[in-house]
Amino acid sequence: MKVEFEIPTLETQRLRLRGLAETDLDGFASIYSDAENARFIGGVVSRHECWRKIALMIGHWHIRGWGIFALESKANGQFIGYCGPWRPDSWQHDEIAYSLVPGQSGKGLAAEAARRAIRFAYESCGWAGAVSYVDAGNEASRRVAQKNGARRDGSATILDDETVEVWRYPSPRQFSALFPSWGSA
Amino acid sequence: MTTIPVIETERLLMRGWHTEDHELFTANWKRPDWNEYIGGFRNRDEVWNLMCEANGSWSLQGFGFMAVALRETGELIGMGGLLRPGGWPEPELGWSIFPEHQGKGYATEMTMAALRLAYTELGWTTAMSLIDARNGASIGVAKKLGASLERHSVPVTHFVADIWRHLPPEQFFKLHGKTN
Repeated sequence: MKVEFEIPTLETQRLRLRGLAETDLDGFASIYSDAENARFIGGVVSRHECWRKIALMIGHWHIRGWGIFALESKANGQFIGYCGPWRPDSWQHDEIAYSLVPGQSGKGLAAEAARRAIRFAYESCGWAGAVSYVDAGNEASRRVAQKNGARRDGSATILDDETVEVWRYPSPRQFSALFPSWGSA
Repeated sequence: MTTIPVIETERLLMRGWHTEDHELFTANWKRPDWNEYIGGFRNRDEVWNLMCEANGSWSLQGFGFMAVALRETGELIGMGGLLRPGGWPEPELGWSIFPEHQGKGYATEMTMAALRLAYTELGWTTAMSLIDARNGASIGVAKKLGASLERHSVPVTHFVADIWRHLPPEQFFKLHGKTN
């Protein structure tokens, strides 16, 4: 009856995807303390709440068997954001979530990480399809989804009353044709 | 690799949270007779998040709050264990039993087991519990364990509670023994 779970480490050209740790709290909190950044991910939250979010993201692995990775720069080990397969209770789809530390956007890192996370979801978690939820007005996030071949597929309501755009990624077969190297290296 | 252990007592199992626990805890969190001393109502999403958070705490700190069930039937009777979420003043021994299962000594049984784990396996040298001053049942449990009131009305993130200080390891073992 005891429960064991292990979060694998994955790599892309520039990033290491690994389990979140308490040492990521500063970087993680910077994502949620930046008003401009946080307005698309539920608003500004305190450092305390960020600790709880990290615990929640790790615990999601135990409940679902997959979940969010910390993104670490291979060049310098710096925490630059998070990304991974994600499905809280009110989600209507298996989602690929991503968010970067302020100042890390515009380099293609989110798309690179998301591509690896989609591959992981398709190859290791048995997903037949994947989407990303994008807040209306979050152009940067929409572009990240589009870079990985996503197309608009209606809207979804999450957390009782929040409406988000659904961007659907190509199926596993289409995706591997589109990205033969899967962005793995 | 993170392992969430199972703590066994005479009548209870303390364990990590499963998806199957979600419905019952969501239903109970709507009940004022259960939620009033544990931060009030939480909706379905918040309960699911808390379950994940409690499991994830084991990776971050090597302990976490647990679901508690009857050994014999597997029926859930509440929650309890060791926790230190962001914003807590120090690690806590916490518990809450569903109303229909109160008064049977389950809280005392589970908290003694959790405190033994903290003192024997985790190297804790002290422990406290945050208790609402109006929560007579929990104050009774704290006293049974040998705890004493240390500070009134301490603000913790978004609530206020009294700090009850538990006996240090040697005194606790002398009074309650080292095994469950």
